[in-house]
Amino acid sequence: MVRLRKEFPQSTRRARQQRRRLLGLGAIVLSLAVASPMRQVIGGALMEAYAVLSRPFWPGPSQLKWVRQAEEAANMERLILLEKENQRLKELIGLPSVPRGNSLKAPVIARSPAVWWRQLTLGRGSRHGIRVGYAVVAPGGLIGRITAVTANTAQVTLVTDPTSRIGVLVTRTNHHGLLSGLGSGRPVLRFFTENPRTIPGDVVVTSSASTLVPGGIPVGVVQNVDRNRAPAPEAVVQTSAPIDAIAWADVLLQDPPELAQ
Amino acid sequence: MRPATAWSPSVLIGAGATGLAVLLLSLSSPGWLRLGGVGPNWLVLWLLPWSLSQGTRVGLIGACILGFALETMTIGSATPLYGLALLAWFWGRRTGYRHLSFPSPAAMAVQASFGSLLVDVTLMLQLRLLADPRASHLQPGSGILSSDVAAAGWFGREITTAGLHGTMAAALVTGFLAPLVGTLLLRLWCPPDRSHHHG
Repeated sequence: MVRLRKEFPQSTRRARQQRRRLLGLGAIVLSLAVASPMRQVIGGALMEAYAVLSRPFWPGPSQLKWVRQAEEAANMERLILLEKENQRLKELIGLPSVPRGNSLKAPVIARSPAVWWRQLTLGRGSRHGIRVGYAVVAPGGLIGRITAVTANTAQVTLVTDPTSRIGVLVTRTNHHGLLSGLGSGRPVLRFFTENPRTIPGDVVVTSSASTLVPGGIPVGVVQNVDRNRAPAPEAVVQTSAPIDAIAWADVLLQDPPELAQ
Repeated sequence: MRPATAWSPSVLIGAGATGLAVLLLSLSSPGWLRLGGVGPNWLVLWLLPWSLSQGTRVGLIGACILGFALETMTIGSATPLYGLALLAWFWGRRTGYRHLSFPSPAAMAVQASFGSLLVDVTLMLQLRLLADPRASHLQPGSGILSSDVAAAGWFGREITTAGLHGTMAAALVTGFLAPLVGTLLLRLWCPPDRSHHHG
């Protein structure tokens, strides 16, 4: 009995220990099972609270601008690579490629003094390598040609001047024409063919057959077409470069095709 | 009121500085003063008070200097000199060194508008007569197109589309600015306190 009595508490103690172990195990399992969704809920709440509290210290628009600038730089590098690749492919299949020379940025220091002169004066001249006949472009496309040069200035006759005549090409239909200034804001495109099949929205670029400007420079977009003009139809062209608003222009430092040949 | 009889250094310097200023203004043609893409005729705005206060001969000298300066700085061979000279003669004729009364702002506006019109018409005539269809041999595409298409210059269509429009716009803006600019310059060249003493 004594032994039994002695044994009994021992057995109950062991059973209790086992039960406690089981309970502990169950608690751990239970807490693990509960904790994973709880963790998400509490974690979510904490993150939201952190977001609210730290909002004043978030990266601002200046950081965003850095990112955009980096993206722009990356795009520019890609563009240069693609241009080189394009050039190489053109050489491979034997297409005539337009070698792009250097260009020079020049500030616009004077504009047309009256309606009779559609001109710009640039603040760079023969001292910087500009010569008569060079093409002048602005963001968007061609704006004119250099017609007079002094040591530090250059005069540009705009494509809107009535004395300006430039050979151009409608890219969609491959029809050539002559871009003539009218003295107003928009030049007119006089086609060489009687049925040019041009519609508003067609892009106009300088013709590779032009003897005055390098080919392939964008000029503008056709606004409307007058088919009843004699001897050939005409189209009013909106120049893609904002001629009245530009403050800096690019002078393409390469001789006109006529002289280069 | 009486114009300065002897050319004091201040009048000369004032005339030179304002003349240079209107020349720079015509070339820079600030966008906020433009109407329909055309700025005012600054030379006319300057010449009106100058020849009103100084008389025909001095007015003519001023017109010639400024007209020639603008001609050299523009493309083509048209010059505003003839129109300006006509205006200087016309405006300076009645004053000379006699007393002159301050013109009313309205009169000034009308005179300036008329002057701007006259200068633009002389320019238009020069460009129209100088534009030579036979010069089209120098133009690209002259072999492909008939000469009237390849011919470059101010012909009937260019003048009717842009020329007249620009002429009217310039006359309007010049007229609007004339009371302000003209009165200021007249004050500069014939101070009103003098006119009190002599007039």
